[in-house]
Amino acid sequence: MLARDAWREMRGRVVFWLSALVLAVAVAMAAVPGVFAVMGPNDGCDLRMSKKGPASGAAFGYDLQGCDYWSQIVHGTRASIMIGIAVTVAALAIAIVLGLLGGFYGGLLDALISRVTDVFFGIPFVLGATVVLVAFPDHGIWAMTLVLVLLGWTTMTRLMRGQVIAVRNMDFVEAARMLGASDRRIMFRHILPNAIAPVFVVAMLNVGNVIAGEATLDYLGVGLQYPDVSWGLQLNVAQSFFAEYPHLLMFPALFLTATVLSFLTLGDVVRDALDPRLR
Amino acid sequence: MRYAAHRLAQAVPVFFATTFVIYAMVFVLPGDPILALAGDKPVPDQVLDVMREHYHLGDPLLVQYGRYMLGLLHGDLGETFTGQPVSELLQDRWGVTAQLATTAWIFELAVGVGLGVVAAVRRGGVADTAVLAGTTFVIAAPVFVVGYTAQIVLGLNLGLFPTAGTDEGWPGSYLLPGMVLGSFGLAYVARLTRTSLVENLRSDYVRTATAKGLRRRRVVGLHALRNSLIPVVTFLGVDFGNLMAGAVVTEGIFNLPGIGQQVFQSIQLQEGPVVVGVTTVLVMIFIVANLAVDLLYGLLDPRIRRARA
Repeated sequence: MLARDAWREMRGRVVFWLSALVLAVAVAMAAVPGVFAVMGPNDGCDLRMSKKGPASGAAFGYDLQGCDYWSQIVHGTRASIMIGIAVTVAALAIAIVLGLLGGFYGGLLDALISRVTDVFFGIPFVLGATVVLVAFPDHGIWAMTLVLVLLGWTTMTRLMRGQVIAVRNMDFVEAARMLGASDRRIMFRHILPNAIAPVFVVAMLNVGNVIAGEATLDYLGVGLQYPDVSWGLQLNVAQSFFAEYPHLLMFPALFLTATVLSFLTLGDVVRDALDPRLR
Repeated sequence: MRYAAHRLAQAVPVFFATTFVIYAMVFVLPGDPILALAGDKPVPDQVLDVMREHYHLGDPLLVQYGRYMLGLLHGDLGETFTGQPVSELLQDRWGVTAQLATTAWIFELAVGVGLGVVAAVRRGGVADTAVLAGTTFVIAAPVFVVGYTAQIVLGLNLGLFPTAGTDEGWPGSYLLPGMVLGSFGLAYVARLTRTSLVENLRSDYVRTATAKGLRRRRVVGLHALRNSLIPVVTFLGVDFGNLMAGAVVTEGIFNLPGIGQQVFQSIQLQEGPVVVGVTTVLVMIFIVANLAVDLLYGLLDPRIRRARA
C-alpha cells in the first residue's frame, strides 16, 4: 500500500528518472566495462601521449601513463559501485540485527549495543581508516570494504534501534504476541517491515557517502593502489598536474560527483515519497 | 541535573573504550615502529631491545594503555620514537587547525542558517529550488574536488584569496580553506533549517501569532525559527569535532601546517604516539561537543528535559 503510493509519487518526478538513468549507466559500466571502454584497464598505454588533452580518437584525452582516459575512467566505475553497494548492504545487515535486538529486548543488551555503537561512532573516519589501511599495505577491494563497514555501521544502527523502540509497543505487536508468536517472528515479520523505511532511505544516501569516502582514501594515497583502477586514484594522480592539465581532474571528478549525486537524489526522492509531511 | 549526571556517566566509559580501540588499532596492527624508524637499514638487536624497553613496547597492551592514560592526566601525550614530546610537536599545529575549523564553523552557521531561512520562507520558489539544487551538489562533490575547483577559480584565476599557506594570518589565509571545509556542513545546515522551519511554519502557534497581527518578520524570526533550530544546533555541535578531524584533506590542498597534515605523515611513518595523541584529543573534543549539545538540547526544549529526567 505504502510502496504503491510511494511509487506513484516518485514516478511523476523528473529527478527520479534522471538519477535512475545515471545509476543505470554507472552500474552497466561497472558490470560490463568492455562494452563501453575502447581499451582494457592499464592497456594500450603510450607514454609519449602522457597527459595529452582530448583529441580525435580519445575524447577524454590521456592520463599520466598515456592510457586512454575514457577507458580508464570506465574501468574505474567498478571499484566505486562495488564498494559503495557492498559496504552499505553489510552495514544495513548489521544495523537490522543489532537494532532489532537492542530495541526489542532493551535492558542490559541494549545498553551494551548502544555503548559499542557510541565507541565506533566516535572514531574519526579518515584517521581511523588510514591507521588500519597503512598497517595492511596489500589491501584490495574487499579489505577496503571491511574497513569502511567497520567505521560505517553506526548511523544506521542507531536509527534502526530508535525505529524499533517506536514500533515495539504498538497494538499490532501486542496482538501478535497474544496470538503466541515467537520473539523472532515478532521481530522479523511484524516490527521489521514497519520500522525499516527510514533506515532504507539512509542506506541509499549511505551508498553515495561510502563512494565519496572511498574516493577520499584513494585520493589520500592509502586506499586502492596501482594496478587497481578507480576514480579516487585518478584524482590522486591529477592533484599534481591539474593546473596545466585540467582534464585529468575534471573527468573523474565529473563521474564521481554524478554517481554520488544520483544516489543522494534517489534517497531524497524515496524519502519524500514515503513521508509526505516533508513535501 | 540528574539528566546531566546520567549523560556524563555514559560519556566516560565511551571515552575510555574509544581511545582504547584507537590505541589497540595503532599498536597491535602489524608493522614494527622501531624498524620503520631505521628505514631499510638493519637494526642491531641490542638497539632494538633498548628502544623497546624505553617505549615499553614489550608490556601487555592494557598496561601500555593504562600508563598512557595516567600520563594524559598530567597533560603528557607521550613522546615520538625520535624522542620529541608529542605535545611539543603539536603545539603550533593545534592553532592552525582550530582557526580553520572555527572559520568553517562560523561559515556553516551564518550562511547555512541564512540560506535555509530564505529557502523555507519562499518554499517552492526560485530561491528555494536553487538552494536545494546547490546544496545537493555540494554534498555530492567530494571535498577535494570542491577544494581544487575553489583554489583554481577563486584563488588562482580571480585572485580573490591567497591559494596556499598561512602567510596572511587569520582571517585572510583561512577564508577560502574554511569555506571549502565548511561547504559540506553548510549544505546540511541549510537543508536542516529549511525542513525544520517549513514544518514549524505550518504549526498552530505560528497561525496564532499571525492571527494576532504580528508582522511576518517577527513571526518567522522570533517564533518559528527559534523552535526550528534544535536539530541545527545538534548538527553544529557534533560537526565541530568532524571539522577538526576532517581537516586532513583541506590542509593538504591549501598547504596549512595543522594537525591533520602532521597526523597523516605520522601514520605513514608509523609514529604511533603522535597518532594516538592527536586522535585521543579529537575524541575528547567530539565527546564533549556531543555532551554539550545534549545538555543544550534540554535547555532549548523543556519537553525533552522532562521526558528524559
